[in-house]
Amino acid sequence: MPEPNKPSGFEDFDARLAKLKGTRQARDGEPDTAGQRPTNWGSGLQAGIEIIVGVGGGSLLGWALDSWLDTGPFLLIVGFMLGAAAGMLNAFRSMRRYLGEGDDRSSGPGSSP
Amino acid sequence: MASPLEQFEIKPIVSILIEGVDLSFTNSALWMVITSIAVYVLVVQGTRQHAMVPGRIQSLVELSYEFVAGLIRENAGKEGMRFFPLIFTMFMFILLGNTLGMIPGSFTFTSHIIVTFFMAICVWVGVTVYGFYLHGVKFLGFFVPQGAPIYMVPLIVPIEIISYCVRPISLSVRLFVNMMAGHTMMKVFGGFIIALGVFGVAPLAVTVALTGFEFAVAFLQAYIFTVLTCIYLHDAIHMH
Repeated sequence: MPEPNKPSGFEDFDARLAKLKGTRQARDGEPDTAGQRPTNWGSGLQAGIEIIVGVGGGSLLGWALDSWLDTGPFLLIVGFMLGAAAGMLNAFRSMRRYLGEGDDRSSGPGSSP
Repeated sequence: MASPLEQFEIKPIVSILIEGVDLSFTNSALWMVITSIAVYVLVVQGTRQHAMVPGRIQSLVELSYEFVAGLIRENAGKEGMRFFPLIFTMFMFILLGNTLGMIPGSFTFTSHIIVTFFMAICVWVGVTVYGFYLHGVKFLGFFVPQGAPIYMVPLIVPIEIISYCVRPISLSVRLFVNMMAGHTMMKVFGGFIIALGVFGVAPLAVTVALTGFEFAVAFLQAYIFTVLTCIYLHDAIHMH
């Protein structure tokens, strides 16, 4: 593509670009991140997946430990409960991230209440 | 009528069997290669001419560059930019894999959990190793929430550890479920079009709507995978 290459017009171009960006921000209310948010449906599905995966992962871990240590169904039960708690914790964090609450963007335990 | 799940079938193109291990070059592998080449060609084409006013392809590449760079800066912090090449590659690979899978007759490799799980486990192992590399043993303090009463710690720590360990599973299941469900749904509605005769207009309309929806999902899932990678990276770098 032909390029005019006129360095003299750059300041003018920058000024116009800044002005246009300003008007767009004023119109959209948000800077560039508009439209990048997951949908309600998507985030609901995400929370559901977190809970299922938490319960499943915890139970699987408990079951694996059970068959390794030969400790009957006890670790499976413990794993199921801890997994359910972990799943709910993950779902809670993902919802909080979605809603944009929480002071920083962390999902780490340090930021959990 | 063909099964709606037939599209996910793995078919070997070149059969390779080494010591009883099946290493065949399958249609899944073929589309991964096509996706990699597509990403490469797109980015090289986009950066070939440094036009002041970018053309279409250059604009596309610059847009994706700035998009991913913004995601990393926002979610992982400035230190996360060290991993920009990896995250950008992953984003482009998933995004193009999802969108190329929308071509009729093509194969969507992201609809197979082993593919997404492998990507997720690589991210998870990498992030964990990086966390230990940065903080040493202190990284284990990540599992102990600040300000928790001491008698709650024995309960909270296992929950946090499980919650950390299931991350790669939820990361991969999310991408795989979305891609598989969407493609199955399209095929199911597509199968009704001919079967219903004149009334096939209704499922046809649904399929048209779903096609647009699937493109949105294709982008959204690549975005979510990338964002979560950045957030996990943030956890490894800042610990909390």
